[in-house]
Amino acid sequence: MYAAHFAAALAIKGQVPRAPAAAVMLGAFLPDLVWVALGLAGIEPSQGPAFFDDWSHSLVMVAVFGAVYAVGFWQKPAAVMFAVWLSVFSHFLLDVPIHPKNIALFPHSAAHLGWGLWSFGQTPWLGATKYWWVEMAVLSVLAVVYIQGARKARIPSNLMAASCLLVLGLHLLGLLS
Amino acid sequence: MSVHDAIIQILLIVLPGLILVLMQESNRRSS
Repeated sequence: MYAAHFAAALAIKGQVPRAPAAAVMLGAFLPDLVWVALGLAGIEPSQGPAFFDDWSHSLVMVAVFGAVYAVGFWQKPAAVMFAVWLSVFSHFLLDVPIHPKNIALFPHSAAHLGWGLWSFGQTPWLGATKYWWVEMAVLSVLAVVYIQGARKARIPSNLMAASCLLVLGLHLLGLLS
Repeated sequence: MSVHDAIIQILLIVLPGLILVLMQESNRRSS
């Protein structure tokens, strides 16, 4: 998923307003940034049957990335540390339903999590792919969570709307690819 | 992954992320 990771960061920021926006935004994409680095290094091939992302996306590694990242915020309240950890772990939660390859439990594990729905997700439906619509549904739920939290935090409604529209716009851009 | 692909991937994350962060933080500064 792509736009849904932004939505997850916003949802977490909305629920824990004291969490730094940059921290949760970076956290939400930390596994992908590791994936890019490892892809460049040739450790995680990103194309074809050789696709491999156990080091950047497996359950254990994402949980560990989150924990290490959250420790960097040890001077902040526990709620902020948890929000930062969750921002990283949300990446796993959003990727596990539909992913190019079922996500490993840990690097090189024989056990994988997921339902092998990648091919299903690529089939067309209502002018997009089913994957696009699944992400749209996830993104919508996360937007509601963000709005609900942001309203409590008295974030101006124009800022809420602009944030949601930006994320929606990013998702709509996916229709062009 | 080629360097070109990596740059595109990073820009796709960083640019929208930066805008969203600035939007959220602008509210904090003004409140």
